[in-house]
Amino acid sequence: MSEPPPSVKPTAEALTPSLQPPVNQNPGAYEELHRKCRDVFPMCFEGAKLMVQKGLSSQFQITHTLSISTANTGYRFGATYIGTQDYPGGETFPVLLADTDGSGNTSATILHQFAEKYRVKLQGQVQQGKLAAAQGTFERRGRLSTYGIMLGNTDLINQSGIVVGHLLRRITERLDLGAELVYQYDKRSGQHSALSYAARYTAPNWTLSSTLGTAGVQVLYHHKQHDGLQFGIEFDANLRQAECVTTFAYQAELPESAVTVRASCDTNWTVGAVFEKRLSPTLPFTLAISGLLNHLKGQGKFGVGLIIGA
Amino acid sequence: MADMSDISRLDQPSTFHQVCSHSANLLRVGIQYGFLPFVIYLGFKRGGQLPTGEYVELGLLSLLWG
Repeated sequence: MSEPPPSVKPTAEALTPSLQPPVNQNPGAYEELHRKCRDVFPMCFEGAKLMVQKGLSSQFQITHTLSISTANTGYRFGATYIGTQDYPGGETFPVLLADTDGSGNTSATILHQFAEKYRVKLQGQVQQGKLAAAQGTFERRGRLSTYGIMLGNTDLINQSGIVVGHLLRRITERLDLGAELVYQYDKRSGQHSALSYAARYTAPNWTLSSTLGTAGVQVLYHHKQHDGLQFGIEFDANLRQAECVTTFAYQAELPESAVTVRASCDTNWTVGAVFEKRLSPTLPFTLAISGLLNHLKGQGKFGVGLIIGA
Repeated sequence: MADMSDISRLDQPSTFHQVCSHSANLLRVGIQYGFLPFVIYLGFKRGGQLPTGEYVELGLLSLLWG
C-alpha cells in the first residue's frame, strides 16, 4: 500500500498578499514629450565661443563664456547650485541657476521639489534694466500622470498674461496621452485660447510622439540603432501659416575617437551640423565646430568653440 | 457748473497699481543684483567638497580658473 503524499502546509509568507508598493511609472513632464528626438538635432551656433566650466564642489559649478558673433559679443558668467535633498531617480533639489553679462542682463531659475510629487519652477529675466519675463510653473507628478499649470508674464496693472495647463497620463506601459490648454489675455487684444492633444508611443528602440492642435501638427520619430547611432525625423505643419517642414537628423558617437557628430537636413534645403571632439583623453578640452547652410536662400553661418571643463 | 477740483486725482495711479509697480520693481532689482550673489553665497556656504571626498578651500579667486 503506497504512502499518501505528504501534505504541503501553506507558509505564512504564501498566505500574506504582496505588500510591495506600486512601481512609479510617471510619464515625465509635458514639455519633454519630444525630448528624445529633439536631442538628436544639432544646435548650430555662429561665431567664436570660449566656455570654461569649473565644478568647485559637488553642489556648486561656475561657467565663464566669451563669445564673438554678430548676434552676441561679450562675456557671460553663470553659477549653478544644487541642493542636498535627494529623490528617487537620481534627482537632487533645489537647483538654482544664475547667468549674467557685463550689461546687467540676468536670468534666474529656481527649481524645487516637495514631497516627491510636487515640483515648483520659477524663472525670471532682466533685459536692459527691465523685467522682460517672469514665469512660474507648478507641477504634480503622480504614479501614472503629470498635471501642471504655468503662469507667464502676469501683469496685474495692464491686465495681461498667459496661463498654460497641461496633463500627461500613462495609459499603457508604452502609450502616453496628454493635452494642453493655452490661455492668453490682454486688455487691448482680448482673450485667446488654444487646445492641443499629445500622444507618445515608446518602444524599446524607437519612439513616436505627436502633438495635434488648432495651430498645427507635429509628429516626431526617434530611432536608436545602437549606442553610437540615433536618428530623428520631425514633421511640422503650421496650419495658420500654411507651411510644412520635414527635418531629418542623426547623431553618431565614436567613443574611440571621442567624436560626436549631429547633422540635419530639411525640406527647406537647409543643412546643418555640429562636430564635437575631445582633444585629449586626460585634459578636459573639447573642440566644437558648427555649420548651417540654406541652399535655397544662399545663406549660411559658421561657428567654432572651445569648451574647457566637464 | 461742474466741479473740476478733483481732476488732478484722475492722473494719479491707484494704491493697487502703486503696490504692483513697486513689487515688480523690487523683483527686478532682486533678480538683477541679488540672485547671483545669493547663489554664490550658497555655493561657498556648502564648502568645496569634491565628489572624490577631497576638500578644497574656496575663495573669491576660486570663481576664476583654479
